[in-house]
Amino acid sequence: MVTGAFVYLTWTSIRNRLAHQIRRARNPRYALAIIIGVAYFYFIFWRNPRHGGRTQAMPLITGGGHLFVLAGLVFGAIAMWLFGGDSTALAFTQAEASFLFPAPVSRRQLVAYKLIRGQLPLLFNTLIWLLILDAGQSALPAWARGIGIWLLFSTIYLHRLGSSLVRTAWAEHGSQGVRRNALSLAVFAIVGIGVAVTLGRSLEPLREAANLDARMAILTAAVAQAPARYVLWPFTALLAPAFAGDMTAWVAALPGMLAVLAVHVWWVLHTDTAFEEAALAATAARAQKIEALRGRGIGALSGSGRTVPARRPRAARTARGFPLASTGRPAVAIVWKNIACLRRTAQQRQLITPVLLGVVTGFVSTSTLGAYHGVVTGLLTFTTAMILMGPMMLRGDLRQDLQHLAELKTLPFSGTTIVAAEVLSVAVPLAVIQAMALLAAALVAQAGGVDWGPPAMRLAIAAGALPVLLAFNACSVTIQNGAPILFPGWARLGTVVPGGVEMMGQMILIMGLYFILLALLLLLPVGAAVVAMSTLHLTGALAVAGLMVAGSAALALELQGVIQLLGRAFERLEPSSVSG
Amino acid sequence: MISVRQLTKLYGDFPAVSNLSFDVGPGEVLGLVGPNGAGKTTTLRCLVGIIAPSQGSVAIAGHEMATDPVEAKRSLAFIPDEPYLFEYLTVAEHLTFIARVYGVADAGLRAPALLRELELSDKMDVLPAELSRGMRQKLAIACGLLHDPKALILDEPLTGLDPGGMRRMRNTIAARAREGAAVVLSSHLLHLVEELCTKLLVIAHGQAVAYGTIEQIVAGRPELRGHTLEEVFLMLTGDGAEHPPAA
Repeated sequence: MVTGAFVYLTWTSIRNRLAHQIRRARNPRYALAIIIGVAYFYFIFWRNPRHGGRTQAMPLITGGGHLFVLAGLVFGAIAMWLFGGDSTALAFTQAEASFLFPAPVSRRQLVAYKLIRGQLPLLFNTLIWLLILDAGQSALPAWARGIGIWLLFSTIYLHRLGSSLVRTAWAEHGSQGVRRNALSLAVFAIVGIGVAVTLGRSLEPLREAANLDARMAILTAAVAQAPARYVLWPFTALLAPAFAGDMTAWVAALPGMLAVLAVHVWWVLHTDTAFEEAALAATAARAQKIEALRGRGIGALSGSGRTVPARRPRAARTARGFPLASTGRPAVAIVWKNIACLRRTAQQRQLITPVLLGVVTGFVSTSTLGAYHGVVTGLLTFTTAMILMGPMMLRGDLRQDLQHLAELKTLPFSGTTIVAAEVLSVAVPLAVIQAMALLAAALVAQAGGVDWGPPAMRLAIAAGALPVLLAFNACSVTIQNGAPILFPGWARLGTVVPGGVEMMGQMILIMGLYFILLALLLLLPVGAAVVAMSTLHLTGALAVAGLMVAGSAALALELQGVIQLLGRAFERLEPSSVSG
Repeated sequence: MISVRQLTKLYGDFPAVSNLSFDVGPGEVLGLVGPNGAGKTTTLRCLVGIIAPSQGSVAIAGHEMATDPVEAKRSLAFIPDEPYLFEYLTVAEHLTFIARVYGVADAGLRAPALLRELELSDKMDVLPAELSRGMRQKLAIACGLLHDPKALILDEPLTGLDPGGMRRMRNTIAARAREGAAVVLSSHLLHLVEELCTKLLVIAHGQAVAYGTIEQIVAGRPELRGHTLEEVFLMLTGDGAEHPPAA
């Protein structure tokens, strides 16, 4: 009975949302975007030269590739437990909390509802991953691979839900919460210990290995032996159907996968914690992020009348704002506000990925090239990651502030001023972080005698680095801000958007479009700078410095025009057009 | 100070507001009243530049909102029914932000006084999420008043306030008007409108059904004579069938 109501609610919500999105397509801008999106899909997937090739009964990934995916899954699960924080898995909307929690619905039925609601994004991402992974070369039918991917994502989703419940019980009930979930924690601990033991045993051979291929071979062999083989079995079982080479392998792998899924379903439905309380806390946190920003009041109140204490953003307890004079350029206030937001939200957590990349590459380089080289490599990797990923990870600009559209529009600023200030709110902090990492790399290289070019070239790079970083960041962030301004009905707003492997398909598509736009915007300034340098017959360090400074200036000029156009679009934007 | 001419706002083919014209001079308080869905919030949002009118014009302190929005907005403050606050700025930081946006040179003196007046002094370092509904409303009011606006637009300003806060808010609105601000006040609390407003604009279905002082409105519609403001409101907005005859 209740399940029917849940299915009805889910189905009608999806149908109405879809109808609303289709109605948007009457707007020529949205219609054009849909046409471009379809063309993009067509050329990426159907016109992909990999399609139509000879079919093979080989697993989709082998050796190092399998190891990489397995490691991603294991570390993803460990991150869920250690860093948790992703309470979105538990969060209900305010309406759901108000209607469902006081209704005669059991906790299990609520969990079932969450699972039903989670299916739409899972299915959408399954489709995208199917298109990415299944290039027509495999003997496994697409529907079978699709089922494998969907089951994999569903299990990951369940794991996220379950780990959130256990972590919440832990946080709310302390040692009692730990005791209640001893079994879950024991399983997690066994897996962690098994992985740690395997890695520990492999350290010495890894250090002595000659190259990357040898290291991969050592790790592949290590995970095939006890204890890793046993503790990682659930992970390999999960991956097997999605990456199977043919139907025989798929059918053989399915029981193991279903067993892991069944255990997860049982675990989530039986996790002994006050689900409503945990979900309400997550709902309240979500409401604070969304509703308070829109100024509709947050009313972290359950339908049963219980109030859930508002959880204060953690960083706010310590991070005090820096001073801002009451006179001066008014638009600086927007940058100041957004940097305060940057310092107080979970966005900083996003920096873990570039830091980890830097640490890993630094570690690998140290073993072959020495400590100084390792540190320099790590810092340069971090900087590169921040250049490429930073503008997508830090969202303290219009991607966050469009939720405050009504407030922004009452401020005495032109649209262009607001867009420029919002872009700089992310571009400047990013440039500072990147420049500091580069400076540290230069200092370490200098101290360790690492050769990074003649003094004149070093000076040229030092002089041009900051303008280049600033201009490039501004360009990237402008693209990121253009999307919510031009397509406010489609943009995902907020400092942190739902993540996880099961949501990565959308991210990959968006990244593809982002890099295409970035390349288009960079074409003109880079071309102009190259032409200018060759016309002036500059060579060596002078050419490098000139190229960097002239390219940055040309890009800044181009961006000025783009930001003016976006500013005009911002002025036409109305709160009703922003997605809910 | 506030001049509105032929203001029309269409959503698709639906006219949320049609041909509204009114003026609010320095020291005047205009009460904007009407039933739910009459177009009050749309009107206020057009006045403050959140949405653009489909037709007509809005001028604040002599600056056209359509052509000179920055100067027009510099002269006004909007206090909405639900407080618009930045989640990640503390109470004190909200005032710092507003001070810089509007260039309030003496904010160092004015802000603490405002916070004291609104009983927020002990909440300086608190984020909005930790404030009660009424406190959040008070903070929005403090932000609105910090730069001493020439035009004050209020949408249900007493929502969420305790009785003491309501009284202080009424006094604050009256004081701002006495100091020369033009005030537009939208409220369903007709006793508040009666107490504070120097003239009324009654709208229904997006159209003005009455405009002027209460005396002027009653003079133009003799059947309204002798009725309370509530009865006048209900009769004007087409919901007066069940009302008793005038006393």
